[in-house]
Amino acid sequence: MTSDVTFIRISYRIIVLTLLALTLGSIASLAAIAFIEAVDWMNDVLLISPRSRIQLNNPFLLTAATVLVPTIGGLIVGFLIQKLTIEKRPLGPADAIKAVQLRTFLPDTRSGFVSTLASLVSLGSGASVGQYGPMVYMGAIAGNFASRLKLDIPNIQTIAIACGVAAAISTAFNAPIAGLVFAHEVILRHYSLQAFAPTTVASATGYVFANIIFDSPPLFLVHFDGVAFGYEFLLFAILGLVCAFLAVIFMRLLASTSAFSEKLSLPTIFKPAIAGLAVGIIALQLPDVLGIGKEALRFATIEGAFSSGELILLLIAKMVLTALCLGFGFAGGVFSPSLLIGILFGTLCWTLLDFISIPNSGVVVYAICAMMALTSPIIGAPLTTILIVFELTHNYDLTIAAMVSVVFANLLAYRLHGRSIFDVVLASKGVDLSSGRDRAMLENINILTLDNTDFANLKDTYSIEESLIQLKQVGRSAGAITNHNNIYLGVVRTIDLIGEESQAITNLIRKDMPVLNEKTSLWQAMSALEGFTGEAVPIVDSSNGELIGMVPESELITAYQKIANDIRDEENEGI
Amino acid sequence: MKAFNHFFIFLLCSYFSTTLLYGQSELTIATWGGSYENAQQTALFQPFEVATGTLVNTQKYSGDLAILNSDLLPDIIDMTLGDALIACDKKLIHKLDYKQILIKDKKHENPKSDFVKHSILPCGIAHLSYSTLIAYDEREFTGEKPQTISDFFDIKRFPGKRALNKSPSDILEWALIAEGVPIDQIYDLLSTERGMRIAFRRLDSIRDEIIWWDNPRQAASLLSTGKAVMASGYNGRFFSAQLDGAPITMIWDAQIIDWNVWVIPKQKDSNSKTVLKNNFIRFVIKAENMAKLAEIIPYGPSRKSALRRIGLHAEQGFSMRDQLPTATHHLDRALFRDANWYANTQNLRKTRFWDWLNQNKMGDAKEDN
Repeated sequence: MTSDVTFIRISYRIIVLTLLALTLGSIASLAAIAFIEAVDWMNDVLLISPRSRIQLNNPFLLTAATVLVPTIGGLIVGFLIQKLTIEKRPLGPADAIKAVQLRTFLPDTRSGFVSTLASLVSLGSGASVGQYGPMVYMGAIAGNFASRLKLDIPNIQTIAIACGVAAAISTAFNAPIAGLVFAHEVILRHYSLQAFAPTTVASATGYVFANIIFDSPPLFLVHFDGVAFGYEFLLFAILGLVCAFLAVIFMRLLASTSAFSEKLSLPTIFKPAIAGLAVGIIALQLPDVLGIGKEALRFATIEGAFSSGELILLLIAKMVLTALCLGFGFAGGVFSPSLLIGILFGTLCWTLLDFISIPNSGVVVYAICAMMALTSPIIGAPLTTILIVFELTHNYDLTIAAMVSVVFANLLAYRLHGRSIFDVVLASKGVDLSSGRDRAMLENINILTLDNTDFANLKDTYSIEESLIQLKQVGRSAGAITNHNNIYLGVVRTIDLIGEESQAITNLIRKDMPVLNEKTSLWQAMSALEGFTGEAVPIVDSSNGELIGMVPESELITAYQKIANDIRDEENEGI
Repeated sequence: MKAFNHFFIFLLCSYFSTTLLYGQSELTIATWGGSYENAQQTALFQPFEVATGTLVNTQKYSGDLAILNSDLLPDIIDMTLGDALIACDKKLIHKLDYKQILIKDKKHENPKSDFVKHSILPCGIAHLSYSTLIAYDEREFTGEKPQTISDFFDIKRFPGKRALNKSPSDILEWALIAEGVPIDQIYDLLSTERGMRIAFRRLDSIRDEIIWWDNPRQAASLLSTGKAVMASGYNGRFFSAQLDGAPITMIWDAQIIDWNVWVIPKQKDSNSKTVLKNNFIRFVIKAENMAKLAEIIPYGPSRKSALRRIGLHAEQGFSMRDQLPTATHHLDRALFRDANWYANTQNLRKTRFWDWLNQNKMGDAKEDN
């Protein structure tokens, strides 16, 4: 009988998860395709794409559009984000990571949609931001919707968000394995059999949509005949290390531009427009900086398409403008700009190599290696980037070369900066994933969410006898003493009161008692209680010293255990 | 049947009305000469003459918009799509009166839907697809044969003169494809200053080996006379040359597919002349006539029902459908020309092209012509 029930339950889960993965895969994939199409359409209409720019035989209009489109785009983005979202900032993969890692909810759906719209406007009007972040977030929104259905499947939110994200990446790069791995590497950050099957189905669905139904063109097609010289692998490793430095510089630049923007005494709503204006003015001389830069990405793998001077100029312009656009509040990701910066840098390094006449296998492999070596530490996804190379180029030699660069880049960048830009952003908001998911989850729970009302509140005017009666009534072996203003004075234990009837109660207060406040997280509480043997801990308002309540130790341990169990279940669940 | 009767009566009326008023009526059609025009004569013009008694004259045309400003303005022109878009934009050609041209018949309740997408334009009707591609002289390459557009640019492996159309069409696309740019991205990349630069750089690499042609008929003859080892040209003409015994082979890699469009130049017309022009277009875009043309010369009709009717070549007996540029085995690496892009970048391309040619002259006196 029991096995029948288990069989039915497991069959139910398998069917529901498969259907869910198919549905989410389709939705996220269609959303991603629609997003790309909409950006392309806007780029054509708004004279951002070179193909539309060259066909306009009106220099005045072209100049005006180049400057005004990103500026007005900035104004619209500023309005959307500041007036229509609750968070007052664009949402992105970091929010999806936070929701999954801490098992909390995504920010509200309206903010999510408005943020997506804002990234569409940003990309459509030529801001120097990436398109994959918003696509990943759209996948996460789809997953979040699914998790609200009453499907009675454990960890449904985690799985559903991972499915949406996997399909988005799979569609965006025509790379189903990379989509699947990205969901595990960046969003789930662990491997579980329960999530693996649905994300694979969703990723494959995304691939079917992108490749078979819509036949989207690949991001890049390159021709590579293989690595000609053994010593080049050493060069790839060195390239990886150099890319790590550049990646760290880029991430620091992003962070410092954000900080600078916050200090700037200017209405936040207008800040994106300033970045847009900067993009427009620079684009007058250097149109490659507009938008994602698909054309520049392609040219980078053609020998001699750029001179070294042009490469350096475009590299710096792209880094500064991306930092400016993201720091000043345009909505979008860092993935595509990183790809472009990386590939330009790779081409530059190859030019140098060629200049000093070191025999090599050509520009393609150096460009691709640097592209991935720079991107991987930024998004914290070494495996994904290696697989993207493999799936996009179908070239094994190129993949191995990229792997060497990526690994070294990640090693160094991790030491210098952290696991990814998302982790650094989250850490700055108090979610530190670097010491493990359990700690981050414990940090995310405030002790006020636990029951703290069941305790004995003793007044400093009480006699010992009165206090003992009170403690007996509540059934506690310790109580908190407050004065007539409810100011916390300390804790006394029954055992210390017995036989001390002549004493004033304030003389019997225990000195070694840990005290928590309204900001204490579960993690901090657990640390504070190390070596503590008692029944309950007082919580005192840090601003005025008033007693809030006492949280029983058993509550803390139960809450801790629940999180530990949840994580263990999620990471080890079969289906 | 009823519809056919109406149509027949209509044709008779228009024939008699024009002949009564003007005696023998005439139409001048500007078209491209050579084997293409011969095929049109057999499949379209002569049957039209027989059916209506109108005399069809032809005027030589090799794709220059200057014809629209000349004194000898033809009645109808068989124009490339890009030129037709420019001419329409400049209001040099009439908007077509599709009520008169696309007549419902028994099979086609809505004749528009029988045409492939985008072939019904405001100022013209795209009637056939043709391919511009590279062909080579078999006698010159007895060993390894050139197979891709990169081979065309490889003068070390495949030495010899290359004959190219003296215009900034096709060659820029080919130069970029030879650089390894995916076909899907050609126009995106050619739209940048850098793309143009790379394309001309690639052309530079073969500049001493180029022979320019102006008239499409020259392409095949330059090959058969041994003056060039490879040449760009139109698939139909190469096909005809092959039938005539020329030892040439077409390279379908990076073929560029484009459309020809029937247009009516703007001029003051009597009503009857307008009717006659509409009648002509209506006649030549009938599915059976389009199919008949494609059975002589392998250019793809724009009507789906015409495609279905294409049978065997009258003399050679092989399927003509397999010879079309749009036959599936030719489409793997085909580039569909972006006619709007062509129309809008014409001046720019011309300027760049002539600058490049003149540079050539100044830098190197060996230019072949």
